[in-house]
Amino acid sequence: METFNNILQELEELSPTIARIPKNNVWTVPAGYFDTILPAIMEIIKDDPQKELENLSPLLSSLPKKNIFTVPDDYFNKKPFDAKIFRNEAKIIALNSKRKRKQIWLAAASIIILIGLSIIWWKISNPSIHTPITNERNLTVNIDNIDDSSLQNYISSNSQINDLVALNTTANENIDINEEINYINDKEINQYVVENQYLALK
Amino acid sequence: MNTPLSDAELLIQFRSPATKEQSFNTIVKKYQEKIYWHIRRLLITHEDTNDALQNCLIKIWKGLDGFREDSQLYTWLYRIATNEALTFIEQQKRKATISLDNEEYTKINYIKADQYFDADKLEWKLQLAIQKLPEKQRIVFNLRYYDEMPYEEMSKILETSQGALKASYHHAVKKIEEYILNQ
Repeated sequence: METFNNILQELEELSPTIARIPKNNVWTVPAGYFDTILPAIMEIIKDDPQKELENLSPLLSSLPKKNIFTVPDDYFNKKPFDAKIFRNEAKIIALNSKRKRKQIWLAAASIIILIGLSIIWWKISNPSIHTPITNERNLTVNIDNIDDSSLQNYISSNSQINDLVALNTTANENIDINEEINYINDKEINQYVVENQYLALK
Repeated sequence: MNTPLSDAELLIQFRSPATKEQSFNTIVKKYQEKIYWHIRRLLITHEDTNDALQNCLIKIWKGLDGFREDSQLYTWLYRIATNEALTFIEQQKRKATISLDNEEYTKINYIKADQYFDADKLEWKLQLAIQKLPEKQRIVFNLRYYDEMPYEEMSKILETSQGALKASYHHAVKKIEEYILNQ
């Protein structure tokens, strides 16, 4: 049997450098650790479920642990899993087959053609429906065709339009308000203010 | 003053239900530190070592009845401890899906993170050098250098021929020396 001296001598022959390194333990353990190992292990070893139940409930622990469930006859002797069944019955479908991809492209092309034809047919069958730009152009053309007296009657019967026209006219003609007010006497202004008090409140 | 019981006597006691627990206590107290340090040198951190040691001692409790005394008790204990440490390393590798190189890197980082780490001290350089060794050489070096274990006992623990173990130890020593001299 080898002795400590043999082992040391072997190391000195192999590497005097390593043989001279002090064999100090560089690692540390928590204080009192080695006193805690045994109690911890004994706790795990003594972890007896039956004894635990006896302490918790003597009644429960005294009950016979009889299995009330049954299984079909010879159940445990049968093979739990037969791979052959799956091999025979399962149909393997390739997800990325060329045929599948061709079908997808054909379906997509059909949908695009159908939508295109629908738009063309709808345009042909509804010629009166125009875009907003053509609508505005048509309105200008139509207003030019209406005589002035008809337009005057329409505006006077629709006060909101009347106001808009007035505002528009004022803006377009760039009238100086102060100059215009000079032509109105104070009495008329006061009367206007009294009659339209709600405007001031707003 | 009572003379301490021999391993053979402790094993007889363990097989008797009346003295089983007492015998186990004595065995654990006698070998726990040696087993702890053997595992610690392989796993580096105290937390990992504590987990592996607990598993190891539970396996000893469960398996001691079947120990056939073909080898010495401490050889059998070291064998369980070595297997437990290696199992722990494998589990950690699988959990973290890290490669062997990364495992070495992690261990070196653990060493450098130790509050007492001193890169100038040879003892710490030695620890870094040991982590650079392949797993088997690391175990052989630790058992020979720290536990001063004869090749004969080591061969029973690692199930490797004495010649192969001697070669592993020599390679390990040369690699460590090279690392220490060049760092």
